[in-house]
Amino acid sequence: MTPNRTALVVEDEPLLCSLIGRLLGDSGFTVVEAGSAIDAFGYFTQTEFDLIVADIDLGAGPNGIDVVQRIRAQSPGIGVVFLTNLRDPRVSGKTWSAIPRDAAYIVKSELGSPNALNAAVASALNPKSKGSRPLPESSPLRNLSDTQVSVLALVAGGKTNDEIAALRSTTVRAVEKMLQRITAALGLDSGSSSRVALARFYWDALHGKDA
Amino acid sequence: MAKTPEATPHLSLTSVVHEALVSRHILSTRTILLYAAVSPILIVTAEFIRNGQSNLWGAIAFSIFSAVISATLALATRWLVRLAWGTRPSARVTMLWLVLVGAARGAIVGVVVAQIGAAPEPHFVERIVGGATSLPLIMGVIAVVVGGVLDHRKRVAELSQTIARLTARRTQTLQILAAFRRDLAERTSTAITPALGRITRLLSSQTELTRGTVIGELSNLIDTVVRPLSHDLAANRPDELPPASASTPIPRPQWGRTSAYDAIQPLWSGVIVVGVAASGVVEFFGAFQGFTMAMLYAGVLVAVLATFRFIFRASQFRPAFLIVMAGLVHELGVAAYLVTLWVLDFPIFDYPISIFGMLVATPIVGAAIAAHVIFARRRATIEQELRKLNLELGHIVSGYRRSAWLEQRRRAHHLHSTVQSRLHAEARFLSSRTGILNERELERLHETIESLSDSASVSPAYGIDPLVELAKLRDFWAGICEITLSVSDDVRESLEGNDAPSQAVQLVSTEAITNAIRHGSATQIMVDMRLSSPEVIALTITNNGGTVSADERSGLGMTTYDELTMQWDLMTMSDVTTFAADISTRNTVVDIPFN
Repeated sequence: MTPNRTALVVEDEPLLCSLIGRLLGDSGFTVVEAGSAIDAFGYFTQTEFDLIVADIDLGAGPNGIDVVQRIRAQSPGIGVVFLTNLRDPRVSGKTWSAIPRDAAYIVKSELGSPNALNAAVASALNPKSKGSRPLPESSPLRNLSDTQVSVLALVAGGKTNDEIAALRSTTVRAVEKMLQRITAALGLDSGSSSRVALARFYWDALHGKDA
Repeated sequence: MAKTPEATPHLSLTSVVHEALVSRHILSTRTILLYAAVSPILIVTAEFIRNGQSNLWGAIAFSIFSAVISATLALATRWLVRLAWGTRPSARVTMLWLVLVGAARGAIVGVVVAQIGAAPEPHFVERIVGGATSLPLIMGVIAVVVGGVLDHRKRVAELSQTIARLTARRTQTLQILAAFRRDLAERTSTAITPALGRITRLLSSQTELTRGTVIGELSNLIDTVVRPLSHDLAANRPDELPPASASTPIPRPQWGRTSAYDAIQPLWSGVIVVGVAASGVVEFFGAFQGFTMAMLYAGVLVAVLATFRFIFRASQFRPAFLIVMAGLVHELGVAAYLVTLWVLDFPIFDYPISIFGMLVATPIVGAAIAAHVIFARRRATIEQELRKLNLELGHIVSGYRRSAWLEQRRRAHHLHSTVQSRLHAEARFLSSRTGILNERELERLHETIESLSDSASVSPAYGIDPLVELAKLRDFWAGICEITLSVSDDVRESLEGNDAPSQAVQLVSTEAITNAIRHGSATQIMVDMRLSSPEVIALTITNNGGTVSADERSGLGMTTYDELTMQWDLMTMSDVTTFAADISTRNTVVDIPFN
């Protein structure tokens, strides 16, 4: 139990918002639910929170990261848990780099696991977790580094090795070697159609399908 | 002053003259031959008087000769004009050409007259000046008439075809969008209902196997129904609008009558008459008397036409009748002029051939002007109709696209986020335990089934004030970006209780503001909303953020603009980025059911 603690849940889907609220309530939090970034900021100006659980995608307008940035500017010590549908947040590109390094991250489909949310909350509220930015266990790209994920995204976007090398200011040879390592790490066949397999793997990961 | 009917746009004398001079018709064989046929009527008058009214047949022969020379010169030299025109027709080049052809005609005829001794005096200067002034005028009038008959008719036909296509396209667009919208609800319902029925039946008669079977059903529902359906709904758009060249019967335009006030143009007639008559009468009656007679001619004619215009200012007539009427009124003007000369004792009746010329030429001028006005009026009317239809089409298509998009967005988002996550959670909860389902699990399962059923139900009303939401957004970004909101009262009124437009205003504004801050790092944003027409909100959002890249212009966020606005644009000039959009305030979809 986490006595006398308050949590702000920011989720634009009411059912999910109430589900998370109930789970946090079961864990001893006093919960305030907000359906949008703007509502969340409004509640924040009225109440002091220990934890914010924010969906990254809140529809049009400010997203969960914007909310956290605005709140963190005034309350740097608040624990942060991000929610998303993406199995691996790194495929979101800029979004991932904008997530604070001490924030926890949970995939929505894992909310049914009794301990998933509690573990994420514990990680977010633990000062020792700073700099960890943990990846979800279910990520199909878990074996790849951040750089490898970004290169994989470029491959899936149809970029050639020459283009990738130019974009990353490196050599074509280095790109080829990296693709070999990615293929091996994902356990894919390194044959002539490996590029197609990489792109397919990426898109499946992006859309939440099991690889 | 009497109230005049609605003014006809683009009918100034200068614009008509310019239109005639830059028209390809002035160089056409048709126009030149028409000139050759019509001009002897006027030239014979001058020739007859010039040679002492003693040789009518000689005057007729020389007038025909002059006309033939004019036509030959024009046909032989028109390539020079085309060469000088290049890709841009020039009124100056045309006028210069006509003046030179007329002057050359006068010189040639003068030389011929002198060589064969057909007249006591060759009258070189008079012939050159007369040709140089009258030929451009008469050719111009002919080009105006030819242009009126051919160009305007062609243009009107094209416009009416465009209107017919737009009308057909509107009908087909509405059918496609309405069907698409209904399809959204049907597909959601059809895909989910069987699975929900199976789960409900399983729950009604529990066994030891129920838990495992329900988990299987839930997983199956996610993988085979909810996920594909949410992706499908998000990706599917009713973009297959019918092509512009859709083959549909094109109705003939239904023309109303034309106002006599518009068709009778006293000033035009006066200017043309002065231009043609002055060159002749000044020559034969002396400068003062000739000028007086020319001005008197134009003045009386204008007075008669203006009187007629005043009397019939509220009357409208069929085109053919109006053209004949214009000719008759001009004839009346000539008669009044002759009576005036008789009263003032001018020696006009010593020159019967000039009377003949006036009686023939003036009605032609009047009929030509009336014909031009009628065609121009019709063209203006149909262009106005086209603009109205286009705007109407924009309202309707925008309304339907907006409605379909909002509905589709709601359904896809609901399925992808809420339903999918909920089903995952349910499956996990159920698989974390064993045995018969307990009461709480059953209750949660029924809640889940209910939420799934809601996926195909009616979309809830928006019901919030977009301007209040924008004010909250302004407060949210305070300290990072200063946002100024300026909304006119008529915009506030038009959005009140108007769900879809309100949602569009909020989503589009929010998207544009967020993009400016997130991608452009804007620190100052000005939002301005006003009604640009009774049913269109002109939304302008300017910011001091960075330049918009091509990727951002074509990004997914732009779909919001495409679907919710009638048109939009994004541009950066002098470190200021401006987003401008037109949003229809019309709620066009109330008659189409969601389900």
